[in-house]
Amino acid sequence: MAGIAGTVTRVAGVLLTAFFFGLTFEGFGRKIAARIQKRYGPPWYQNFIDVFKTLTKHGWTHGWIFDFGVLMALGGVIATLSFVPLGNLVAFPGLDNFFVIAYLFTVGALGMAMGMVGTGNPWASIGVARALTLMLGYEVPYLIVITALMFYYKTGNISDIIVAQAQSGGWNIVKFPIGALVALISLQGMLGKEPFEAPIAPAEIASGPMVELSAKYMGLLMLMNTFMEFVEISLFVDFFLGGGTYFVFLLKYFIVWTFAVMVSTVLPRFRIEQAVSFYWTVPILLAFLQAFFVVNGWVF
Amino acid sequence: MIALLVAVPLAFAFVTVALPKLSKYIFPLVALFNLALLIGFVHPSQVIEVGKWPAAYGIVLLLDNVNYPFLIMVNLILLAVSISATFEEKIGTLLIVLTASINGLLLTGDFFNAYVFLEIISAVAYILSAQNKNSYAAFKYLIFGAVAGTLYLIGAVSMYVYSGTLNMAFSGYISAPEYAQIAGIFMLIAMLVELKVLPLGLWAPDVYSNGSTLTPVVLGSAITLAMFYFYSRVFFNVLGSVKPYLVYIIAIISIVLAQLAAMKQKTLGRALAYVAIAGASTVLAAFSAGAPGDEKIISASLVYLLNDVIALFVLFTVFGYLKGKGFKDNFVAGVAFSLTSISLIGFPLTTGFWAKLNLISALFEAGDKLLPIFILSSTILEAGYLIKWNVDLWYSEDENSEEYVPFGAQIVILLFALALVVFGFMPNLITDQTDKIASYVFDFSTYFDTILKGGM
Amino acid sequence: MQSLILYLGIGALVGYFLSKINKHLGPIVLFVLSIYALYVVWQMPTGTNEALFGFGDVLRFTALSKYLSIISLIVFASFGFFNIAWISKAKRPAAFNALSILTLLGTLGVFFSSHFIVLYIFWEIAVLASLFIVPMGKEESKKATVWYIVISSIGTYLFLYGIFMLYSKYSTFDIFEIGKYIQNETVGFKWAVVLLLLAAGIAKSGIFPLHVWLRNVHGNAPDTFSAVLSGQLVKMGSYLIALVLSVFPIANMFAEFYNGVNILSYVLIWLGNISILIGTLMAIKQNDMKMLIAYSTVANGGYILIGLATLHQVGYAGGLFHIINHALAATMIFLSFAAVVYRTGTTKIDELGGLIHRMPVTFVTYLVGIISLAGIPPTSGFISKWMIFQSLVSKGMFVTEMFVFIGSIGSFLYVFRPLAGVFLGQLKNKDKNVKEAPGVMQIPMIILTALTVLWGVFPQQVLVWITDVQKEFGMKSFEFEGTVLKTSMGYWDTWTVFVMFAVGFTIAAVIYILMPKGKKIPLEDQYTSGEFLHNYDLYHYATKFYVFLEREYEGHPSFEDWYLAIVNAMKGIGKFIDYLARRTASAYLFWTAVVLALIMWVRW
Repeated sequence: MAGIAGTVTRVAGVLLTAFFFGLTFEGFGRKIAARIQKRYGPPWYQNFIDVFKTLTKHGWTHGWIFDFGVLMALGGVIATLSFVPLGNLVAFPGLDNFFVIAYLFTVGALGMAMGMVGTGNPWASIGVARALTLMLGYEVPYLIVITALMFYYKTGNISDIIVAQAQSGGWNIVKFPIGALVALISLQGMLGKEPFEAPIAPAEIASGPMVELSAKYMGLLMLMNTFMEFVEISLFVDFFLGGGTYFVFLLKYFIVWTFAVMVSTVLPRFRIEQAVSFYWTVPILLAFLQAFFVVNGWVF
Repeated sequence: MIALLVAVPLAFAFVTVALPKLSKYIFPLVALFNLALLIGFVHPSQVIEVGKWPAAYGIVLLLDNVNYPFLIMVNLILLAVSISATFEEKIGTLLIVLTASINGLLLTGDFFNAYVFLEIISAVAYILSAQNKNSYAAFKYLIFGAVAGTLYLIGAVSMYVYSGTLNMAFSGYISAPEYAQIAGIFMLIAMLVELKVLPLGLWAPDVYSNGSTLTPVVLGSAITLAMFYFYSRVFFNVLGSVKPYLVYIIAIISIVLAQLAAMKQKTLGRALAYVAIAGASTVLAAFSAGAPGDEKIISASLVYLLNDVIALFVLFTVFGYLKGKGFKDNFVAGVAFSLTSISLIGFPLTTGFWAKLNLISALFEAGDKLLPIFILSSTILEAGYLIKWNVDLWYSEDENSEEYVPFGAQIVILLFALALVVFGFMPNLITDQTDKIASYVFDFSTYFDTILKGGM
Repeated sequence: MQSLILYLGIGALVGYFLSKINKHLGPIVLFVLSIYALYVVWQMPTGTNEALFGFGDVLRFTALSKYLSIISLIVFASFGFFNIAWISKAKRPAAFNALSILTLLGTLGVFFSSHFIVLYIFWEIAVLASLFIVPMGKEESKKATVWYIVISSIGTYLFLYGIFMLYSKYSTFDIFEIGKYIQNETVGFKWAVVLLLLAAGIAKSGIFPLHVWLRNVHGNAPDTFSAVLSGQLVKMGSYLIALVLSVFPIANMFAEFYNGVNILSYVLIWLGNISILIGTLMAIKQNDMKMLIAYSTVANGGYILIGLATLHQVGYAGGLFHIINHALAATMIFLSFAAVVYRTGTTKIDELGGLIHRMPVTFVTYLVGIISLAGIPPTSGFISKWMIFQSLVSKGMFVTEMFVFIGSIGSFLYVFRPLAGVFLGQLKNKDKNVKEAPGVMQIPMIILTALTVLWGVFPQQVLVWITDVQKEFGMKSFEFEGTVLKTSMGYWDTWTVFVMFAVGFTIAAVIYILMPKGKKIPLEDQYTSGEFLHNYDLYHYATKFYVFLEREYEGHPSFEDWYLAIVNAMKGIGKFIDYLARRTASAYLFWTAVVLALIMWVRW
C-alpha cells in the first residue's frame, strides 16, 4: 500500500513539475527570444493563459481518429514522462530503462502523427512526413552516443548513470565532450527548433501537423509539446549534467533550455534534405568517434 | 525365339508395304507381340547362333540380364509411341522396321551386325527428322550421321583386322588393350554423335524442334535408350572404357552449354531439345565418373536416364500436339506436362528426385566432388526455365486454340507421368532393376561364358 | 507427428475435391486442420523421436520445432479462416486450397525433421506448393515465380551439396549426431559446410545477397497468400539458421573476433546489417503497399539473423522473439491489405485514401500491426527489439547498432506511408461506397490484434517457449520473472509500462471529456489557404511521400539489375551455342574433326 501511495505521489510530482515548470520555462523562453529580437515579449505566464484559453473554447473535429490520435499523443507522452527521472525524483526506481523511454516516446509521436493526418489535410501529411524523415536524421547519432554511454557504464538505467556521475565526481559532459555536442545537436532537432524546424515550418506548410487544430485539441497538443520538450531536455540533463536534486535539476534544465532557445532565434531553417544530410555526415561521424573512444577507454 | 523379336517386325513391315492402311494397327500389334514375348516367353540368358555358325565365325544374338530390361523398356516406349503419335501411313512401315532394328541392335553380339542395325536405325531417323518440312535439318543430320557411321565402321573393321573375328566378346578378349582403346575411339565418336553430346550433338536442336509428335519422341526416347545400352555394352562390358576422363570433361562442358542455350530459347521445342542434350550429357558424364566398375554410379545414372527418357517423351508429345499453346482447354496434358517437368527438375517425391539424389550420393562416395556441382547448377537453370514455361503455358491468355491432344495420347502421357510419381514414392521398384543391370554390365566373364556355351 | 503429416496430406486431397463442389469448403478444411494441429503441437512434450512411414528415427520434436510450429499454425489458421470469405476472388480456388494445405505440410515436416534428407524433401514440397500458388496473383507474378524458384534453388542446392559433404565424412544424415563430431574438422571444411547449410536459410528468409526475389514474389502473389509467404515461409529459413547455429557448436568452431562474437557470427551480422539497410531504404521508396511490406520482410529477416547470430543469452532470445512478432505483424498487415484490395481492387497507395472512414476494423488491424512492426510498446514487437538492442549494446557493437537503429526508425517512415496514404487523408470519390470487410475476414484480424497486445503486456508464455529452446541447446537462457524482463544491463516491467500507458491515456481522456465537445465537420472542410477546391480527390498527399529523402540515395545500385545482367550474359552464351547449331553440315563435320583430334591427341 505504501508502495503504491508513494508511487502515485512521485508520478503526480513528476507530472505536475513538468506541467508547471514546463509552461513557465516556455514563457521565459518566449521572453528571451523577444529580447534577442529587440521586443518586449509576452509575460512569463502567457503559456498558461494560452493553454487554458484554448481548452475552454469550442472547436471542431474531423472524426474519431482525430480525437483518438490526440488522446494517444498526450497519453503516450504522459506515460513516457512518468518514467523519466528528474534528477533524484524517480517515479519508478529501477524501471527507467533508456530504450523503454525512447520507444514509449514514439507512442506519443505516432499518436500525434496519426491524429493529424487523420484530419484529411495534406499539409499535415507533409509535415508528418518531414517530421519522420528528420527523426531518421537526429535519432541515429543520438542513440549511438547514448549507447556508448550505456556501454561504458554497463547499464541501461538512467538513474544508475546519474548515480555514477555523482560518484565519480565529474559530469559526463566533461568526460564525453564529443558525445555531449552530438546530443545537443540532436536535441535541437528533437525540440523542433531552428535550424531543424522544417516539419512545422509555419509560413511554408501552414504549421504542418497543426494545421487543423483548434480549441481543446490545440490545448491538448500544446500540453503534449511541453511534456515532450520536458522529456527530451530532462534526458540530456540526466545523461550529461549529472541530474541532481530537485531545484538543481530545474536550474540545469533552464540553462539547457535557454541555450536551445537562443540558438533557435538566430539561425534560419534548413530544408529537410539539408537537415538529414547534415545529420548523416557530421554528427554521425562524431558519434562514431565518441564510440571509438569509449571502446578504447579514452575518456576524461 | 529371340530372333522373333527381329524377324516378326520385319515380316510385318513387308506386309504394311502391301497394305499401307493397316500400318497404324500393325505397329502397335507388333510392339505388343514383342512385349508379350519378352515378358512371357523368353528369359535371360539365351544365345542364338545365326545359321548355326559357331560364335567366333558367325553372328550371335544374345539376351542377358543387361539388355533384357532395355528391351522391355524400348518396346514399351515404341508401343506407347504407336498409340500416342500421329503419323502418315508410309511412316508406319518405317516405324516397324525401326522396331526390328532397335531390337536387333540390343540383341546383337557382333560388331558388323551392330553396324548394319545402326545404319538402319539412322536411315529411319533421317526420314523421321524430315517430317514437318524439316528437310534441311534432316540433311545436316544425315551428313553428320553418315560420317559417324563411317567412323564406327573403321573402328569395327580395325577390331576385325587385329583379332580376326567380328564377334564382340571374342574380339574384345583377344585384342590387346591399347589396340582396343584406339579402335574404341572411333566407335566412341560415332556414339557421341548419336548421344547428342555437344559439340557433336549440334544437329539435335534443329531436328528435335520440328514440332512433330513422332520425331523427337522416337529419337529422344527409344533411340537414345538403345544408344546408351550399346555404349554400356561396348565400353563397360567388352572393350573397357575409352578415355573416360576426356569424355567426362566434354560431357560436363556439354551440360553447361546446353543449359545455357536452353535458357534463351523462345520456342518450347528447341528448349526441350537442349534439355534432351543436357540430360544425355549428364548420364554420359556420370558414366565416365568415378573409378571404372563403380556400380552405384551406373545404377543411379540408369535411373536418371529412365527418368529423362520418359519425361522427354511426355514433354515432346505435349509440345507436338499443342505447339506451344496453353493448357486452359487441355487439362490432362497440362497436368502430365507439369508432373514430368517436376520430375525432370528433381523435386521430391518423383523419380527424378531419387535419380539425382542417388547419383550425387554415389558420386560423393566415389570421391567425385566436381560433377555434383555441375549437376546442381544445371538443375538450378533447368528449374528456372522449365517453371517459366510451365507458368506461361498454364496462365497463357490465348483464345480457345484449335489444338488438342487426342485421347490415346492423353492416356499414354498421363500414365507415364503418374508412373514417374509412383516410382518417386516407391523407388525400389526401379532401383532394384538398375542395380541388377549395373552388377552385370561390368561382368565380362559372365558375358563371355554365355557366348561360349551358347546360352546354357 | 507422423499422423499430423498424414492428415495434412489427406487433407490436401480432400480440400481439393471439396473445393470443386464449393470453393468455400477448402479453407474450412485448412482452418480445421490448423486448429487441430495447433492443439496437438501445444500439448506435445518436446524431445520425442518418431519414425516416418517406416523410416526410423527421422522425426524429432525439439523445443525449436514446437515454437515455430505454433507460430506457423497461428498464421495458417488465420489465413484459413480469412480465406473462407476471400476465396471468392481467387483465380483457381481448388488448386489454391489444395496447395495451401500442402505448403503447411511441407513446413511442418521441415520443423519436425532430424534427418537432413527428410528435411530437404519437406523443404522442397513447401517450395513447390507455394511456387504454384504465386502465379495466381497479378500479371507480374509470372516473372516473380521464376525469381522465386531460381533463388530458392540456389539456396537449396548449396544446402544439398553441404549435406553430402557431411555425409561423405560421417556417413550419417542425422543433424544432431553430426553436430557432435563437426568440431574437429579443418577450418576450411567448417566454413564451407556451415555456409553451404546456411545458404538455404539465407535464400528463404530473404537476406542479402539473396533478397531480390522477395519484393516481386510477396508483392505480386495472391493477397492472402502474401501473408503466408511473409509471415510463415520466410520463418522456415530462420528456423534453419537457428537450427544450424544452435546444433553446431558455432562458438567453439570459429575463432573469436570482437568482444566475444565469433567470426562467422560477425559475417552473418553484417549480412543482416546490409539487409536491414536495403530493406528499409527500398521500402521507403515503394508506391505499392504490398511491395513495401515485402521489403520490410527483408529488413526484419536481417533483425532476426542479427539476433540469432549473436548467440548471446539475450540476443538469441530476442531473435527468436522477433520471429513470432514479425510473423504476427506481417500476417496482420497483409490480411488487412487483402481486405482493402477485396473492397477497392487496387494496391497502389496513391489511388487510395481515407479508407478509415469506411473500414475501421481493417484500419485498427493495420495500426496494431505497424505498431508491433515498428517496435513500439505495449505491443510484443517492442520486446524483441529491446532484447536485441540490449544485447548489441552489451557487446559494444556500435556499427551494427547504427544499422539496427536505422532499420527501427526507418520502419516508422515506411509503415506510416500506407497509413497516411491508404487509410487517412481524403476519401476518393470512387471509394465512397466501399464497405467494411466481411465479418468472417474481420475475426482473424481482431484475434491477431488481441494476441499482439496480449503478448506485449504478458509475454510469459512466449518467453517460456523461447527459454525452453535455449535450455535445450545448452545456452544460458534469458531471465524473466513474471512481467519483469532482466538482462545484465538493466530491466523493465511490461505490466507497469502498460498500466502507465493506460493512466496517461486516462488523464488525457479526463481533460478531453471535461472540456467542451468539438463539432464534427465533414472531411472536405479543410484549411485550403483561401482556395476553393472542386475535386478533393487530389487534395491528398500520397504520391512520392518521402521524395525529399529518396533524393538522397537516388543513384543507388540495384541488385535486381545486377542479377538480371548475369542472366543476360548467360543467355548471350546460349545464343552463341544456338548460332553454332544452325550452321551448315560442313560446320558439323568440322566439329567432328575437332573432337576426333582432341581425343586422339590428349593423352589422358
